[in-house]
Amino acid sequence: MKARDIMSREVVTVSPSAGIREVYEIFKKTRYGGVPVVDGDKKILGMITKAEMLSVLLPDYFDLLGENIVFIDDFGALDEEFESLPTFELFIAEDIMQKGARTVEEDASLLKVVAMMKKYNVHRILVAKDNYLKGIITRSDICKAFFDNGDIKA
Amino acid sequence: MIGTIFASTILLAVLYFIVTEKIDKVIAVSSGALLMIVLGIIFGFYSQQKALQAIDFNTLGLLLGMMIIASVLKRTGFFTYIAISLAKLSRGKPWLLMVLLGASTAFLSMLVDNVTTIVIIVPISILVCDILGINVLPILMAQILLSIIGGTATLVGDPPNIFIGSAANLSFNDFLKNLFPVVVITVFFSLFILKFLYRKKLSDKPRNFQAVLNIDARKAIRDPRGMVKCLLALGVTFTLFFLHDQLHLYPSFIALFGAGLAFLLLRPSPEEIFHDVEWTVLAFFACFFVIVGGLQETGILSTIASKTVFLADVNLKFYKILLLWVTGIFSSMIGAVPFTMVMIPIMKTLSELGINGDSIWWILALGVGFGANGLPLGHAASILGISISKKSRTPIDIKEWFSSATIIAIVSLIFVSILILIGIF
Repeated sequence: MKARDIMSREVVTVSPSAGIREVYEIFKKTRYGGVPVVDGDKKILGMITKAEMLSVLLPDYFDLLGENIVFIDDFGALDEEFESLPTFELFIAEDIMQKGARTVEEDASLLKVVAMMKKYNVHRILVAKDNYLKGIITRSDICKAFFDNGDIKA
Repeated sequence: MIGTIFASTILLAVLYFIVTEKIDKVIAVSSGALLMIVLGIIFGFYSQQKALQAIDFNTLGLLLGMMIIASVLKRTGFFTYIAISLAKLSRGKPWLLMVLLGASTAFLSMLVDNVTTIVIIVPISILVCDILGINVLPILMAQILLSIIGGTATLVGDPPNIFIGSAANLSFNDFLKNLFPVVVITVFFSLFILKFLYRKKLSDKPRNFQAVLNIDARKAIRDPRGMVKCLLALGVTFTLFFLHDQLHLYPSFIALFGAGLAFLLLRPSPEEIFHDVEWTVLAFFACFFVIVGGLQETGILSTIASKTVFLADVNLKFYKILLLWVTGIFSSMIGAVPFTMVMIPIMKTLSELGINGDSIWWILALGVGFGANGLPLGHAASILGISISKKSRTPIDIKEWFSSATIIAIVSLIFVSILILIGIF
């Protein structure tokens, strides 16, 4: 079996200029954890997952603090700002997306897809031809292919 | 003659790539060093053996040892503990917080490398200011500037001092006696100037001081016993530094001894610690030594020294002041480390030509340490501090730098000029 055999061809995508709320609404409606960002010709620009949504909420320097914050419970003035989310709505997909995405060709083997998911710790792999989106494979698609589908025999 | 042209061209090309960052620094210096050896062998001005001799392993060993100690120390949470305790002590007054965090950064930079100090203490300081709800910019600026000024006080505080100490055979105590008092005064008036320049930004009332009071700073210490052991190793190391002249021990041996002691007492994972060691910095220094060594073999550096030394006969104080400002301006432009390494052979010739005493070495150290603050690219610590500031709400840009850092650099160089005029150096 190849990537093309199990991928979903109907991929929900967002445009780079989509607002962060629009992305959230997609997550809510579809219950997906991540969507690709593509331009008008379906060229892949990046990927937004819930992790990217959450990291917008944190100041940029937090990634430098490492373990130095786990003992703090009350972030004072920072907490107040966090809860009022003043500039949060201004973000668009292009700002928050992870640039580029993990992709495979349509005739890639499933073994490769699984290996990439594990290696890069991602939940979904895009199927693309010359970086133009053709489909998407999630972890569930893989599980389904192995456990529900009669094609693969133990 | 042809050797001089080749060697000078290599140095200028390497400096060009370092300043413009068109190629990675380490790739630029290593290519330059290899080219220097190849051309040196072909044209007979340099050899493999001389290139190896040009590398000052005492300097590299000292740096390696101090990097290991700093890496062990930073894992204990000590720096975070200090920053939060000082924030509580400031009672939420922004100017007092700037003074406390700035002065402690200066002090820590005397003990460990500036870059290590900045990389740990700046992010936690930004966090403390954000918790308080005050403007972080004056505090960031104070920390960057004072880490570089503070590092000038000791033999181990900053790589340029390590180079100078090793080349001129000056001991840890020599540095302490000659530079520490000057640095303390400079730290003091720099804070005063910063308080004046940032008087508006420092007048913010903290929105939430209680939150800082609520933090239990002791919880920042991940491994209290480990921290005590690490501070013990650091204490032994510095005691030996105080005594190294009498004991006839190389500073590099002491630093590596301290690193070994920290390893033995704390038993950290060596892989993790060695992962923290900045091998690229050590490789950069080794390669730059080879480049400067080649240049030295061609005789150009001693020619520069002997051609300018007549000025010292005309007026020694004037010559020293000129040396100070040339050092300050060039180190802020091409970086403190490369400039010091090029200057050292020149200074050695100057001492041989009869400029007596160690004062020119102190002038070099102060010129580099205080002058590097003149421009944002003068020191690895300022480059790093600025890049961290870009992740905060108040990124430091070139305009901001000119309106405070450059002023401090100029005032501190004027201060040293006065010290030269009244005969202290």
